Amino acid sequence: MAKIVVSLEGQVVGNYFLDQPSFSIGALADNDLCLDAPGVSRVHARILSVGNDDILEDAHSANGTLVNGRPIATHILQQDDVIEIANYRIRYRSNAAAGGPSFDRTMVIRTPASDGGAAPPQEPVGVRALATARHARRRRESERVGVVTAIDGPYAGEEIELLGLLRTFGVAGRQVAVINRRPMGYFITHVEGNKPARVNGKSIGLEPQPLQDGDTIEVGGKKLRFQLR
Amino acid sequence: MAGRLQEADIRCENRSGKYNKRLSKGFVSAAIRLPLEIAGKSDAGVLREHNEDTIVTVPELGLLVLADGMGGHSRGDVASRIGASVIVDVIRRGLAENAAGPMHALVRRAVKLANGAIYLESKRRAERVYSGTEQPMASTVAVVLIRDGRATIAHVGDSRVYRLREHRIELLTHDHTLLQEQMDVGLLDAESAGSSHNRHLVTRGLGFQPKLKVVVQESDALPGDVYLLCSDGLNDMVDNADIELVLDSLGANLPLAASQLVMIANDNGGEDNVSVILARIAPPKPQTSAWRKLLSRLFGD
Repeated sequence: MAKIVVSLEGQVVGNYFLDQPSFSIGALADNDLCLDAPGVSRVHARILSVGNDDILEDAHSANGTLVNGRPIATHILQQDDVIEIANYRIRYRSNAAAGGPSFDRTMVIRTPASDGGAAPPQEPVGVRALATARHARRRRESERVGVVTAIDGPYAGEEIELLGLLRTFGVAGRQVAVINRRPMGYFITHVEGNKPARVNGKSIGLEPQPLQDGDTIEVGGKKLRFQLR
Repeated sequence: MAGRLQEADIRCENRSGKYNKRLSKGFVSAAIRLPLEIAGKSDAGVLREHNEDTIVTVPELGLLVLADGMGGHSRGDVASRIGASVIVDVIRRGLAENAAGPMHALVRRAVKLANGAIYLESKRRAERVYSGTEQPMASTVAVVLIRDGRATIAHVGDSRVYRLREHRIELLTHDHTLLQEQMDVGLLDAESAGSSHNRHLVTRGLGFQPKLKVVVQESDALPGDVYLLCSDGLNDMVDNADIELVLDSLGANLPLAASQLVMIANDNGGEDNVSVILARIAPPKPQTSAWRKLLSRLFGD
């Protein structure tokens, strides 16, 4: 559960837990947080709690609500955000940000933009949005690293460490297999060509096959050894 | 990470020469209709019992629809099914009436009608079962219509459309989420967005309000392009670099690429339903002359 710490001119004047679906802030006495001071509207802002999230909404206040110095209409509160209402500073503290699987379902929230107000830009956003995969648990990997060594041909003895998520081997259009690095180990799967690749002399078929330390792989006319280190 | 990036770059260089040649040849010969290869997969994920996503593909129309349902009484699956089927119906009928009409207008109309249909059904259900506090049912959607060398794309909510071209993926859609809006106005940087847990708050959804603004974009569809439609269960769990790696390495086997994307999302935790649709505009076959075939048989390649 998140809490907010209210201070005025550097002095902490109160702590509040956000333990209800909607927490109102304003000058009227029946607000959950009553700030009776000049510049505070009767109902100035609300904090809505949705799943793990706390969303601050300005309630069309006369003088506005700032978060980290910027005026907002709707804002998902992040750990240590500072909300400013008139001369009050309200710090948001949440331990939910630490994470753990979120069971929240996707929900729709009404914002000025969805009501036909200022539309967000429509151009592809490229880099900024491209980075949004959740960093914390983006990849789990097997502990030992697989290494593939060419046994014959001009590249005999050359090693390839299988550090990435997957890597293809073989000749495009003829015979290609992919080796995946998964949490439970390495797997080889047929990609293209009339005949699937072979492991230890046996066709791998169309389903993924686990690879064991010391396996010999034949793909695209080349012989490879798979080892775990 | 750095090592892997380098490797990818080298591979691109090696291949790009060949690829460009192929591309220019293809333009001369295969201008009229480009064969489209399609694969799709939808999975409940590791942690959830229900799959509320719906995917529909209509190869003969070049139509791909992915919808991620949400909301009241776990009826998200109803919302996504209504959304997808209305869109397919409207576009199918529209094309039957006038196959040469403006595609963007048709796609926009289809998405708006889907919005209205879900909105009405949601209201009807709310009246039957009184539930003032429940979220109304709603759905996101991503639509891609590929015809005559053009791709027409629309989306609502946080379902995404990516395109792989020249070994690189590009995100073609702009999430309608509070998180994205906060990034747009500079309240949040990509770094903190990546670690944020509040990524599921969408600002637009089908069925959420009676009228919906729908933005549609159109662009050239080139031979070799791979389009990916996905629900947030994919891009939440799998990095863009890894999505790119899968599409670029396994483009020759789309069903495998689709199931690998779902597998990787589940390996990474699979917290949500994961759905993907892949469509590849067939690259023109490299023209292998009888002479070259003979040479390669004699000497190998």
